[in-house]
Amino acid sequence: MAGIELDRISKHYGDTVILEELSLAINEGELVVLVGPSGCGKTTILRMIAGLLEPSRGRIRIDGRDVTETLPGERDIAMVFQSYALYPHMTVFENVAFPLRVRRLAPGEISRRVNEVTKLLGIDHLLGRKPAALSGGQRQRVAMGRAIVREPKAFLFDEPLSNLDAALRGRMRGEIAGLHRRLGATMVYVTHDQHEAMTLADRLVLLNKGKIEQMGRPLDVYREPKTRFVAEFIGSPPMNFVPVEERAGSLAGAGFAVPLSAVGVKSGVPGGRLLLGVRPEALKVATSGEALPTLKAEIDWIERTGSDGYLYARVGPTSIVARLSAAAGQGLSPGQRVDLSFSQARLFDEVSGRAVDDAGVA
Amino acid sequence: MRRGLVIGGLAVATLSCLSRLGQAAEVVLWHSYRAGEMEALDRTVDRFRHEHPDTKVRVLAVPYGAYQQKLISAIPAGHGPDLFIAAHDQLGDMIRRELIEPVPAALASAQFLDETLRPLAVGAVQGIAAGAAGPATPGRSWGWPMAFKTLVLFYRTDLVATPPATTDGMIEIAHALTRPGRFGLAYNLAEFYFHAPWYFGSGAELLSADGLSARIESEAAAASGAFLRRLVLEERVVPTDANGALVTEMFNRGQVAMVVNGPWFISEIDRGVPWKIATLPRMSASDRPARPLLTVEGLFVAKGRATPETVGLAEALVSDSAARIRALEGGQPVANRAAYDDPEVAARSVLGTFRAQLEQTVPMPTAPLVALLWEPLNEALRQISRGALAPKVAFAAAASRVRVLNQPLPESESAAPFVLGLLLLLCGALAVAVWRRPPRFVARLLAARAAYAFLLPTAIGMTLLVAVPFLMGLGLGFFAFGPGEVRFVGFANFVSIITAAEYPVTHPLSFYFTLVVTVLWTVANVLLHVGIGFALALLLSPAWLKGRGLFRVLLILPWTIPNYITALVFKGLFNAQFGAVNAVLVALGLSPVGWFDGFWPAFAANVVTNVWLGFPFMMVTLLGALQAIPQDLYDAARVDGAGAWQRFVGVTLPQVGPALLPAVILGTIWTFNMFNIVFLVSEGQPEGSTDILVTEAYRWAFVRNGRYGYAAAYSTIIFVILVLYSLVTRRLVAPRSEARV
Repeated sequence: MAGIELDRISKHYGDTVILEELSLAINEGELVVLVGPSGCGKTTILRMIAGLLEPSRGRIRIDGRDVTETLPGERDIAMVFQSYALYPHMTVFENVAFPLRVRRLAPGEISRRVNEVTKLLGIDHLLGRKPAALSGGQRQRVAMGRAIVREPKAFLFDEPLSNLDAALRGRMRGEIAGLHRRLGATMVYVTHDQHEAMTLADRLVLLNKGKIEQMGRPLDVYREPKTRFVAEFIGSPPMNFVPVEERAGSLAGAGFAVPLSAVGVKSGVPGGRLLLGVRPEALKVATSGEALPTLKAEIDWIERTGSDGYLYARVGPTSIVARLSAAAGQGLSPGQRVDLSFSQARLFDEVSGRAVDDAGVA
Repeated sequence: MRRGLVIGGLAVATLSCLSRLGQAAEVVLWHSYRAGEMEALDRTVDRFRHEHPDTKVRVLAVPYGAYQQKLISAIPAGHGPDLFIAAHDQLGDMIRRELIEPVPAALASAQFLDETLRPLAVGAVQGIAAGAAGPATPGRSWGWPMAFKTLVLFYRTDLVATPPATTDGMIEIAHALTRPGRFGLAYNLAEFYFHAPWYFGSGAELLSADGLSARIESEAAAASGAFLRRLVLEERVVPTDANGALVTEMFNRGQVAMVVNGPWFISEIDRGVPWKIATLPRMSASDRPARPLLTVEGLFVAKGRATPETVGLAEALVSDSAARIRALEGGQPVANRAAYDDPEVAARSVLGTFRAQLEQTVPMPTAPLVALLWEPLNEALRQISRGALAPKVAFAAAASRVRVLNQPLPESESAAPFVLGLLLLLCGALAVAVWRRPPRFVARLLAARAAYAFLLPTAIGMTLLVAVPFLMGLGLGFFAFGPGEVRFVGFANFVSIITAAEYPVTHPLSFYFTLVVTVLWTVANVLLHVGIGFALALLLSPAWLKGRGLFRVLLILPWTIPNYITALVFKGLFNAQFGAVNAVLVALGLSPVGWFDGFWPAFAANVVTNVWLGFPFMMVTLLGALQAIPQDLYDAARVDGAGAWQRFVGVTLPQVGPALLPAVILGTIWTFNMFNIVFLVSEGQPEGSTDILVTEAYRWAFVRNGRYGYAAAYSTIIFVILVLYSLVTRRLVAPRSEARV
């Protein structure tokens, strides 16, 4: 197993800049998830690590060795594709055995390793079938088997679950996490799905327009988004943003005011337009005598999903959403005015989009 | 069954029958003249119309190519012409087919040049049993002579001052004028017709007096061959590879000084080229005049159409005054004696020269056997002129080939067992069909009758256009066609082909020799088609390639050009003396190749032409297949460590396989039956060795005395071979396509 290091890599197509001076170090045995909206450059990074794309500038090192000009097959990495890219004319056995055959291993060794891996993945009863005769989940496992069988230095996953249905996706997510634990392998996982990113990642790298917006442990990123973009991307439904102004040590919005301490900031708040960021799950319907800061809102409608419910409301002209327990939603109806208290919030500069914390604008 | 019936054009017949209803006292005249000759004829017809306003005359110019076949099918069906102009060499055939009436009134023979009259008399019609000519008395005439055609010597007056009187003199003049890029003399060496002056001038003959046996193996024939050899190989004053069009071009450009050619050549000479004609020289070796073949164009009355109006028109058209118009305006060497006394005609030295040459001609034989002689004779001339065989041996080989081709028809067999067998087979098939019919067959058939009604028009079309011709072709193979007769011969044709007992296996006429050549031809072509097509498709498929669209269009172009045009272009490129291929070889310091003199060069020329035509199809097919391969597969293989070759073998090949296999099967069948290329490029040369099965079948039907039955049997065997091939390949394809799901 080995670490992967991207050293100020850039990728341009003509005048179009995909990545600019991006650096990222992935530690040995770490599962790093690259996440971001379409076109943020996450797949480009993955393909450059694999050697399928060449960076316009910068160096790539795997296990300390500069592989920037090395052919994909000589980098000792394995990749699982979104389409699985199984060889349609080969059986499951032949598919899994292909990387070993290319390396001219002895037939006995090949079949030993293929059997071992397919048993591990629970596809050892499918060895004689061709990909067309497999289900989506089975194909996914074959693709992983083909990656694992080589015992590579690192695994690259390119949105491997996006072609599966929701239930299967959840299961495979668990299996990949289990695999990572068992193999202890370095893995780079690309997805646009925040659930996958949150549940799988040792470390999450959130990309936007070819730049790293924020990286860190998933919960840290969730709790302390450094920018409005991160706060919106991570979390579902996304964070609410209510316009506020700083007035004499408190934040005043439409019909409410909260102390600066409610957003964990003591002083040094810049003037100008600010946004109070509150996660839907941090909001509660306030009981009388509530100590927490509150927002005054008018209910638009209520969605009940059984286990919990969503309350859609307006704070002044701003629409917000709150996630309530099923019990907390009882007795509320549209048009009603309620106080919504929150336990946690972040303050953002509306213009720059950056979070405002103790040190002022980050 | 009649031969006419076999060829028949029933639909056309019905239409023209309808169009003739309600028209009375009309005389229909058919001819195949063009340009000046047609205008002159029209003038004489107009004159007749003016003098006989009560007789309607309709003139139809029928294209020359289909003329004879049209006459054969239209006249017995009753919708042909009343009067038509045709060459006399068809006379025997026309009498046998009962297409014409004898000339009703006694001909005023003094009106015509004696020599031109002779071939139109029944006494001159050779090779016809007396009974077949009907109640004809010897010396009876079958048509009115109109004009004649024969060969003379054309020369450029800027190069030749005085035309030669002897062949030695001709060679001497030619020798003095021959230099690189120019020849003293040229004519179409590939056709016996143009060799005929030397052949008859040497004293040789084609047929016995009764017209029933060939006489082409003689000392005199060998002597004419020796003269050809001298012209081409010893003195080198005649280009070996000049066909008709090339001769014309060379004469117009001054690249050749003298040309042996007929009256049609006059209209091909460019304005401004100074030329004259002379009678052909005397043969120095035999001290006899060179004697070209003579064709007389006669005016014939269709069977049963000898009305007074028809005869009246005929007599008007062959009258001395009409002949004068045709001579002066059409430039025709007319048959009327008086025309040449006319001072204006006499002033035309061209007509006078043809008139003089006429005295030294040999009428084109009318015996059916003569049609069989041309292919072997042409072959003999080719072998002599490229030095492959001594003249004597070449003519002997031609004679033996004629004997093989002229074998008596197989014994007639009783058709009864075959008819009975066929009936039993049909009944059996019907019984099986009835027995194994699906439940409630009739009720379901009736219930779906609207659907079947929609299918009916297509079903009728398919039956008429595909099933009927196919079954007729199948049936034809069980018959033998001889002069004037058709007999049922059972499996004799098939047995003769399959056993190939008449020739050794190495003989080009042997079925197995041709089969091996065909297989070789198919394999070579398909391999090259796929190889080149694949290579180009791989080159053209990368997305980064600039101008990909342009290259694709350029590379598909050969496919879009009609293949016979490509074939003719390539034939020109491979011309031994004037072709671009040899020009390049010479420029590179290599020696030129006689592309059609040996089997392998000729075969290679065919293959090169067909590869040029065939690779775009494979390229397009493979390009499509290549582009359908997901890029992910290549990426996965690269990450898995596969190199370029491993990716090609492990990803590309198996992925294009399903598209490639049907294309290969289709390409194989097309190539196996690729008639045009072989027929036009090598023409089967040398000695018919590069012929493939289809071209061989064609030659049996249309070159070798109309052995339609034999040719049909050949086609049936080709069909069976291809059916077997597709059955085998279907098995190859089937398991794979199942596995793909």
